[in-house]
Amino acid sequence: MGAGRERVQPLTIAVPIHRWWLWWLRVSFPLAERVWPVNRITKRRLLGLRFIHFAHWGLATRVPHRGGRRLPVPYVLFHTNYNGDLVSYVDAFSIVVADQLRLQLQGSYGFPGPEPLGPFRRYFFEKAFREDHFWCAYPEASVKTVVAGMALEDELGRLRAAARDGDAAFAAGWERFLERHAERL
Amino acid sequence: MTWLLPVAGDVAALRARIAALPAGDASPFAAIPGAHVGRLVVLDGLADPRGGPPSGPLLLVAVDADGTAAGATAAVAGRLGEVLAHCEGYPAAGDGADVDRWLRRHRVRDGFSLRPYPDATVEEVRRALDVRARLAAFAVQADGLTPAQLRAAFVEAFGR
Repeated sequence: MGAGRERVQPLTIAVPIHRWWLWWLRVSFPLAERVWPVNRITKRRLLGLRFIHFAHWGLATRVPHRGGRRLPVPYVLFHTNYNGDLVSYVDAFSIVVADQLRLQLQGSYGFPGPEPLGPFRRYFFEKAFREDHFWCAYPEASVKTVVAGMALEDELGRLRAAARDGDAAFAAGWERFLERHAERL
Repeated sequence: MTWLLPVAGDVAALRARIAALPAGDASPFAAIPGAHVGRLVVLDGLADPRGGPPSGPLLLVAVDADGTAAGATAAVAGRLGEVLAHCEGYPAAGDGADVDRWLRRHRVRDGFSLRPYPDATVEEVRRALDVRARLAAFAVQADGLTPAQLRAAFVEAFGR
């Protein structure tokens, strides 16, 4: 795992699923990934959690994946990078996207449902693996600081323009900037 | 991108090899152009919930990088060879193209992904973070300055 001071944390889990559930996920993953408006609705809610940097779900059925030996049961491989503590991360999934969790995990072995929180946490943590090596290009960043920084980059151009218009214009522009963007700083 | 590779032989040797990798800026993932994050996870065994023996051991390699899948695959092959050599079928005697082909066979395609800043390159992310940090520092410095001092300080910090 990353060092404790680092704000980006990794999580890797493998969830065994019934073979009949594989067919549902083979249909629903592409729908949720690519087909409007399903993708928009699905991703908006998850991204609204604002602590997921990257998250990927894949289906492992054979090793090697192409032409290899079949695994006894299929697995959903999930790996993600997030900010904050893991319990809050798992609880947020349970509370905010409970219906999406059911749509994804209802056909997994031993799925207790997203609530109550205790059994779901245990189910989730039992399937987690310790990362042996993890690296992030911006380990101290949070999703909020990255997104805020992108918005502030646009504003920086406006501030530079105001600075070319003299002291009073810049001071007024700076005040407006603080009013609009103080929470992003 | 994600790869799932069967481990050949001694898992402890693989773990020791991974543990010896440098962290931070010296990590092999740091040398992959455009990489945002990378991980190596040794899966001792994927449990069979029906009571059968676990599948494994396996090595999961994952990287999020800008650019093409082919570019990321080639970079992983080039930077992580000493780790990948602990996996079944690794073409130790082959050239880069052989390793690429071997990795492609082991790739588990992402079915669904989340990226809160999907089009941003790693350099754009770093620049955005830098801009935010500098503006935050400037906001503290700017408190109480006259308009002339404020503008002069801004120009000095950020240019025109």
